[in-house]
Amino acid sequence: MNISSTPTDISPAGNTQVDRNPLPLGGLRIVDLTHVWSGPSATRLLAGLGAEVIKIEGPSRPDFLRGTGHADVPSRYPDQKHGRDPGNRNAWFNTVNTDKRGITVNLKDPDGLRLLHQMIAESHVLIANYRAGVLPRMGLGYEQLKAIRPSIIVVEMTGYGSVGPMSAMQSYGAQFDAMSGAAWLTGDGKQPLLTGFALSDPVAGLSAACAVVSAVARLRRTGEGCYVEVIQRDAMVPLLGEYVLEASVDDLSPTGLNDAEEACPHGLFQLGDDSWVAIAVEDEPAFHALLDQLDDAARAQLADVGTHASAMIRRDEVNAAVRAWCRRRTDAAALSGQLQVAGVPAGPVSDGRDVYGDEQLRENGFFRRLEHPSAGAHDYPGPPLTLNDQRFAPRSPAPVFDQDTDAVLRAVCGLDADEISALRERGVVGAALS
Amino acid sequence: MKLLEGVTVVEVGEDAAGRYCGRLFALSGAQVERFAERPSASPGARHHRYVEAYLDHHKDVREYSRHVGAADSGLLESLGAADVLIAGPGFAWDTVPKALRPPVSGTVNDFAPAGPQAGWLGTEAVLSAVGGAANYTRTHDGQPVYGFGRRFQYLAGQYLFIALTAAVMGPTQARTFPMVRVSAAETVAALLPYATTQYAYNGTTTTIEQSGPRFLCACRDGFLCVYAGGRWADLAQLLGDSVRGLDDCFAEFGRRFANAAQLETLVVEWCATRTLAEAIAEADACSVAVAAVYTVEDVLSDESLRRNGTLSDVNFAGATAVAPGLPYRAEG
Repeated sequence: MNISSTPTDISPAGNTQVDRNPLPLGGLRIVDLTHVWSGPSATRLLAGLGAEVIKIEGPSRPDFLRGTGHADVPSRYPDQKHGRDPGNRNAWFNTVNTDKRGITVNLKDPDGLRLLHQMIAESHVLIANYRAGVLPRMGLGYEQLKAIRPSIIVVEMTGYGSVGPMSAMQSYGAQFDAMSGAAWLTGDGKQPLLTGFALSDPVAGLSAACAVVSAVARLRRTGEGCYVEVIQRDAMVPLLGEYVLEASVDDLSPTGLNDAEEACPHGLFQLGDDSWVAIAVEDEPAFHALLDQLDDAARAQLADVGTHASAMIRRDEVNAAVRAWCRRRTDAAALSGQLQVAGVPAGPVSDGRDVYGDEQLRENGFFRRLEHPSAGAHDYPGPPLTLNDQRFAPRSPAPVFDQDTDAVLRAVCGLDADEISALRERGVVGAALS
Repeated sequence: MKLLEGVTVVEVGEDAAGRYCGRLFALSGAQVERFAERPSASPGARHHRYVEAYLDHHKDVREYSRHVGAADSGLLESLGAADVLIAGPGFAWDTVPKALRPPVSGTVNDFAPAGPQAGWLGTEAVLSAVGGAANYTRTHDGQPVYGFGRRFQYLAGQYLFIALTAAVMGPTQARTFPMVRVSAAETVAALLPYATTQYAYNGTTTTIEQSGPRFLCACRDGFLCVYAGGRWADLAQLLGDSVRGLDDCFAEFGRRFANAAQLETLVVEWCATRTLAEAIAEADACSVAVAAVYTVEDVLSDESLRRNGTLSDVNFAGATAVAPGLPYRAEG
């Protein structure tokens, strides 16, 4: 069956307005109740792909990622200055919320909840990353929302699943990393080691994005909505699936820190100027290419190794020779380029400045300059993909707090200016970011 | 509920990213026909056969040789009926007539095909290094660490899955987005985006504010992960006398990050006198987020992963084995 020949209209509320957004998720409206990192990273990607993402924050409960005001870490702010409105100037929030609309609604107020229900009636997807059980308690469970819009898709990102003894526990990326087995595989076999940047958060976000597009594909095909639970702790486990498979039938093959069973030499090697280079030789051609690049001292050390097959058996000796050779070299970027030209997989260990200035990323348009009303003009990273060789995101900066409340209430809920003003006066919507 | 039942996918290529993408389609209920041209495994690489099996689960695998040609291998016939083509970076596109190309096709390159690193070879360690991930993860003595396995390649495949699924189901524009390309190197940079924005905002490259106060500490019978970035009052209650009078060091977020090493020492001392179960119970009572650090074997024995459907039985070489599926489940 060629499904794209029988599309289902997904324009908001099934109206007949012709979708003019050329991006793949054009015409899709997502109500976004996610906060911090994992959920917002999912909706950032979906917004980049063309969905209209309406991010909802509480008037007195902004997204935690907006920071803790003037007591927050200075390195997250332009010129390390919090400024007059730090909540709108946080680099983290402004990175992970591009291409979204931002509104403020007090969902604890019955009128606020009613507004949200009105939005649901005009939307295709609701996504949230609250603790398990919170959505139904708020009146936003799947069955409750299905009564409002039968074809609604509800995606709930729970920490540990909605049932079981851990369901209500606090959950952060570090916990997911630790409970996936990844920390032990990352370490040296004697001690576990956490990935330095809570990789589990964006990984859970990617899984949620997978769930949303899959559910939307089904909606387009059948006209039916569904409930999807994304378990964030579980999202890391498929990334080490081959190890799980191996451990289920055999003892795991042990590897040391920065080692890999299928490659030799393999590792991150320190150069004479204290820069680091990754080298990973997986086959005979690359091994012989590496031998050609070594200096006489290193070649002499490896004179009787000869083949990659032999190197794999004598990996300690080979890695030691390469380690010593690297200490006689400088400039990881130049060495990596030299090795790559010769056919040896290699790359410099890059920090934020290196990645930001990376000519490869620059030439391919990975970064886009966005003018943010409070933070100023900066370059932001986009998704790592192109459609028909064209970059498509990010297109607009993260919303400042309360930026789109009036516009969304007018366009989606059909309120007029007086009605919105009354809601503001009562604190149901809007507020200044403290 | 399988969300992509009725979708047909053809997969050609040996790259881990593309094959992981095909795996996601298969787990989602799509019919995935894989045309496999297997390279020989590295000598002694026992682990390799588990990688192969993991990536091929739930697919209909057929042999294919690019030397035989697309027509003779049956590939063209399959392509004509497919919704999606996942092709490895070396795929010979000119062997497939345009009329037979599915509505969308996708490829993962190690590095984007233009620019000074076009054609560079990417392994997991190389991608992790170039994209900035290895710089973040450091041992206590400062060595950068790349990780393990093929994580970032799989994640590149996950990006491809998202874009292909979004594109193939596009409202009315079949063939509007016939080609999706993902860069594995960009995937790493995209998944840790704060480092570059931080540098853009203020020219700093410090990572401590991103790694944060997250500690792995030895309890009497195993390791515990402690997230110390939550409410200070909760953590202070948990640590008790050892942090009394130290609010100035830790109460404010910025101060806590700056004094993370001092805080780690205190948390390590606290953990050392407790079993994992004791530490988890006490932390939970104080609303401090902690978790046991699992080995892969621990993952296998965690009943919740089976109950969630994340782990399930699969066939491996004629025997029953266990492998992860999708970390989400749908019901309607």
